Amino acid sequence: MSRDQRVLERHFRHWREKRLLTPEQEDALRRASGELAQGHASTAVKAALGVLGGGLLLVGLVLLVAENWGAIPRFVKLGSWGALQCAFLLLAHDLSRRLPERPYLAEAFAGVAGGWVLGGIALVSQIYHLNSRPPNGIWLWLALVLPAAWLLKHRATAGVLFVALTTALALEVATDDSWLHARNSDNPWLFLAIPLLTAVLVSWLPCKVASLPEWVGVWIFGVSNFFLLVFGATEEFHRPALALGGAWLLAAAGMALALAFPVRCLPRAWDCLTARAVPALTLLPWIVLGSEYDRGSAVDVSARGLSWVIQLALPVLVIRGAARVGSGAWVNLAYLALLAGILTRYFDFFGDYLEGGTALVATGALLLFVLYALERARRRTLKKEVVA
Amino acid sequence: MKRLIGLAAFQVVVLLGWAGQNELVRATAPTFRIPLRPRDPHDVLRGRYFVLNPLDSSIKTGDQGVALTAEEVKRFLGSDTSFRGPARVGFCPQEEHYRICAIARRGEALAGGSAQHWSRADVSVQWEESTWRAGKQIHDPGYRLDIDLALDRFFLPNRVTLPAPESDLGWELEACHRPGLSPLPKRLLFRGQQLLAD
Repeated sequence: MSRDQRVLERHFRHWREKRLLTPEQEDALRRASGELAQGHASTAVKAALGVLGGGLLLVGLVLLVAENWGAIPRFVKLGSWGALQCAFLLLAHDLSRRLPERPYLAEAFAGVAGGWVLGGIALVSQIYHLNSRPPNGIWLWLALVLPAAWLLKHRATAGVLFVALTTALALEVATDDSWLHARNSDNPWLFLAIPLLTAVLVSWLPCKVASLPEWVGVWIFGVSNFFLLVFGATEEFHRPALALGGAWLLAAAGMALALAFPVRCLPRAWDCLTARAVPALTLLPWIVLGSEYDRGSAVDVSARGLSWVIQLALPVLVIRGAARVGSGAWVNLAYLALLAGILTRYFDFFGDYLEGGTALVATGALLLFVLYALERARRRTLKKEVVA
Repeated sequence: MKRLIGLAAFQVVVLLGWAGQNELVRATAPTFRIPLRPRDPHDVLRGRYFVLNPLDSSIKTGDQGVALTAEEVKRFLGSDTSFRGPARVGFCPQEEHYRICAIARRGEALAGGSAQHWSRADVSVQWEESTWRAGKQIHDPGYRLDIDLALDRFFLPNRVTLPAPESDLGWELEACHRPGLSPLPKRLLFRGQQLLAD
């Protein structure tokens, strides 16, 4: 069932309850909407094909130059790069005017034009054997593409800028001579803060990528669960923020912007409270930790206990928020995380005692019961039988 | 349309201007040859390239062929016992090549005797009492210098056949002198023979 059909279904249910719709009218409307759905590929498919087509075109061109590197004189390489860049920009501009009903073609070429700039930087670097800091190349890419956000106003350009900014900051963090260099990043601070910071900054561009907060949300939710799960189970990733060095500036800026503007960087399916709580709660155990995890320290042990509780609390928060706005995908994902959390904690606590047939039978039965209970709760949540 | 032309002009002019500036250096700057000890790795993203590894990237004063003297390093250090940071290194002709023979701090007047080309480099200097040779530690006092000239890679087309294994002696790089900057690679040579056509 497509997203449109799910929304339609919800509205039909609501109209039936209000007695605004007769069965005949409902049948006629369903048939009419069915024809519409069959006649159009979904938005997601069009976007995916646009990204795939643009990406293949870009990679193919780069490989074509690389495979014939010696045969093509360097002035021809540079001239071809310039001519193709102009052609991509022209196509992005022209197709949006000539084929307004097919916006994904223009978006694909806007994306290719953005990516081709990086291809040009790599080309100049290779021709003249330049060995600059890698982040400098990405900053140059960002600077060259940035005006396109105002001049072209394509969503794909905002996507390219998100990738460029995230890559540049990640490379700065990893580069020794950078003042943003992280001495140690074995903790969730930067993994959460950099995408949040970039997503908020990119959201202020004139043209936004509507699905970006969803993708950032998937990343943040995945990273939160991963770090909490591993820290809680194996006491890994216990370096606190003190180990970040200059990168604490990024961590602070990312978290401050995410807490101030949660709607700009995280999914709509998370209400504001959930969007603020997920990154903040994830970091709480690392805020509580001292300079280093110490099994004998009551504070550090409580931080680990806190990670157990938070790991289970985060999916519940997301389920609650997603159920309110009727986001089935987020409800499913959060139930999956909840199941993973329960299973990890179970084996973490009782793994050493699972010896002998009785223990395994009891474990199997318990797991089946947990699975049944969660699946039942998931179905009830999706049907809105549970008050969120 | 004006916006589009402006954007295309901005992107193309900046990138081609960058290429043009490097082209100008290649065409006009004096060149000198640096002996190498390269490796020939290949990675999927960067393609095929030499890790240039200039012979003078790690030297010890007093070793055979090293043109930099302990007296010059002592003068450079002054009252310090070690150094780590950006500096300038001077190249002197030695047979057909240029070897590092002088070193100066940034802002210091350049007076390296016969040094002809001065380049920027990240340098670390420390005193070393002994060295390891063939698995044995031997008494060999001198200054150990690690010099990063930012000559890391020389990109090669995939189809190039090398005249000799990269571990052979005789590889050299012709570099353009850029005052105050690191040298710009121009040509890769093996025993005086250019590897790729210009």
